Amino acid sequence: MTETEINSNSNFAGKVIVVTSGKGGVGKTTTTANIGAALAGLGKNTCVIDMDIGLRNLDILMGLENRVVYNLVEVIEGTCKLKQALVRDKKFPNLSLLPAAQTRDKTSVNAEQVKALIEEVRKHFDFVLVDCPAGIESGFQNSIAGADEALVVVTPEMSSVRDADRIVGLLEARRDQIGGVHLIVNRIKPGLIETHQMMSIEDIQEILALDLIGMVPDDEDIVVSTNKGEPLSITGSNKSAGQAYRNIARRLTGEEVPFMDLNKRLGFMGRIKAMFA
Amino acid sequence: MKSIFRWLLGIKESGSGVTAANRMKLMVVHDRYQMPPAIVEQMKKELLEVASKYFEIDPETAECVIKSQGNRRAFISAIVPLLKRGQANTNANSNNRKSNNKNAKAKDTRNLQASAA
Repeated sequence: MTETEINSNSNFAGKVIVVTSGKGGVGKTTTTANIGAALAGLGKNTCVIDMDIGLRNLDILMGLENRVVYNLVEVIEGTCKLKQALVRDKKFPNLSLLPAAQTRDKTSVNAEQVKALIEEVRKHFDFVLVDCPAGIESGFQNSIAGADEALVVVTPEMSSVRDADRIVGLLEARRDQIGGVHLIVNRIKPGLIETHQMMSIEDIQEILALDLIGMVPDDEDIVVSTNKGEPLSITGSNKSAGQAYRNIARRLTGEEVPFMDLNKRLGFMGRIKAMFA
Repeated sequence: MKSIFRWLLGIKESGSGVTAANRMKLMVVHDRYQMPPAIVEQMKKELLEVASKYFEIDPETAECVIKSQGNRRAFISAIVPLLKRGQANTNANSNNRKSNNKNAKAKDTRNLQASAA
C-alpha cells in the first residue's frame, strides 16, 4: 500500500477534541465516526484517532478495516512514520483514521507519548477527534492527554449519567488544559420522554451542568450504516441521527445551529401524545 | 379538559423518568462529595441535637439533605420544624398546659432553616 498523503501545510495546529463517556456502549465510537465524517463533509481536514488500544473498532464503523496497515502504537514506538499509519477515507480525502493496535493493550503507551503524538498530528488537520475507551483508567488518561475540548456522550439512563458525572469531575480537574466540555445526549427516545418514562434532556443537563451540543435520536439506521461502514452523517435524512451529528459538527466549527425537533420522529399517536404531555 | 386527554392517552404526570431524575440528582451529589447517605443521616442526628439545645424541635418531621445547585455546586439543606414554646413533652407542666391550650399540638409554622454553600 502506498503511503497516505497528509496535508502538506504543517502549521495547522487544529483543535483536538476527545469523545468520552465513562460507561461503555453508549455510542462513543459511533459519535466519533459520524462527527468526523460530518466535519470532513464541511470541508475540514479531519483526523479520527482510535485510542481503544486492544479493542479496535473505529476502523469498522468507517469502513476502513481492510486498509489498516500500521497503528498508533507502532507510530509511538517508531516502527513507522505517522503518515504511513494514517488511513485516508475513500469518500473524503480530507478525512483520515489513525487506528488503534489490536494485539496490544492500554499499557503499551503512556500519556506523555500520546500527547507528543497528538501535537504532531494536529499540525496537519483542522480537527482531531480522539475516540476514548470506556473506563476511567489509563486508556482514559491517555485519551485526554492532548485534548483541548471534550464531548461527553450519555444515554438517558441512570448508569450512563452517573458514570458521565465521574468523567466530568475528572475533566474539571484539568480545566486549564481542557477548555470546553460539551454534552451529547445519545439514543433519545422521544416517545418515552413525552410520556415521562425517560429522563428528560433538561434533567440530564441540569444534573451534569454541561453545555449541550447535541441531541441524537435513537435511530435503527445506525445499525444499517455500521453494517455498511458508512457513517449515517453522510447518508442520513434530515430527520435521522445523521442530521443530529451533522448539526454537532457545524456547532463545533462555531456555527449556531438550532436543535432538531425530535418530535418529528414520533408516529401519529406519538405526536398526539406530545401535544398533551 | 387537557387532563382528560392525558388520562385517555395514558400520560402520567410523573413517570419513571421523573423518579430516575430525582434519584440521579441525589446520587451524583453523594458521589461527588464521597459522602454516603448513612453519613448524612448521622450529620442530621447531630444537627438536631445542637438545634434542640436552643429550640424545642420536632425531630419527626425534620429533614436534612444535600442538594445540588447549578454549576456542580451543592449545599446542605436542613429544615427543622420548631414546636411552640413550652410544648416539649419533657416539660413537667405539659399536662397542665394541654388542658389550657387545646391546640397545643399544632406546630409552629416557622422553620429553622440552615444552608451552607
